[in-house]
Amino acid sequence: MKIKISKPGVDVLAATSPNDFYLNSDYPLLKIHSYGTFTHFTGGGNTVIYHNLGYKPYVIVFSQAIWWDSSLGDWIITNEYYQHDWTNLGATYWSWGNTYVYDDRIEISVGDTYSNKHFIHGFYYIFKEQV
Amino acid sequence: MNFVIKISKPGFDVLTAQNKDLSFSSELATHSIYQVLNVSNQPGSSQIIINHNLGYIPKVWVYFVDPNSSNSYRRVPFDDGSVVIDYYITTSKIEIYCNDFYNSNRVFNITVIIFNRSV
Repeated sequence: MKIKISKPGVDVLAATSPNDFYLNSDYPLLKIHSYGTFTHFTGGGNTVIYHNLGYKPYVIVFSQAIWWDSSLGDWIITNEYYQHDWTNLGATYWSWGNTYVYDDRIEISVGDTYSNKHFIHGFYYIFKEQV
Repeated sequence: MNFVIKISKPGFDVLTAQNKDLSFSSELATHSIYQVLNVSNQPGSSQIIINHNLGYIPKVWVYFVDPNSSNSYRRVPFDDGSVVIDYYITTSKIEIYCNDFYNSNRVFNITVIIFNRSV
């Protein structure tokens, strides 16, 4: 037996494109294993979140971006959230937000090459699906 | 016949729950997976082309085996100054570009998840 729910305005019996459906049991849905927020200190070390799935799952992580403010001559924490992995590359200084996905955990690293003194906020989703 | 199917999260009354407290609603789009592919570039070539032929631009996620540790995966787009991986999506294909500026023969192992949804 198949279950299909088409988008509004689309006849479920006539629809053919995978993009016509809100639900189609022919295709698996993303399933969330865990999600949450984190605070990371850019002064060193990784933020570790354990999932204990025994394999490397799909993960998405966002964290506040760190930008160089030339008027202040310093890095600043912005209210913008960038999806990992991100890097702001400068001629001398970098900032970054990286996530490493392991069989039992994810490790999050956010930092910059200059000030290393910020607490940044972020959030993550870990899915059941295996990479 | 039009009707609505809703499944609430544990602890919420499905009849009164807001959308954020639902596990599923037939009124809301879902993330369903069209295809998962494991691909690699050829040594000396930075380009990988995947033909999906969906006729629209699908949502895509790309991961790759960390070049510094095969025990972990990283998310694309990626740029650490020496390794740069990026991708472009069209209505017919996905083009992935992977470069190691210090090793032009490097082979990258990449997982591509193509969703049914258009971007």
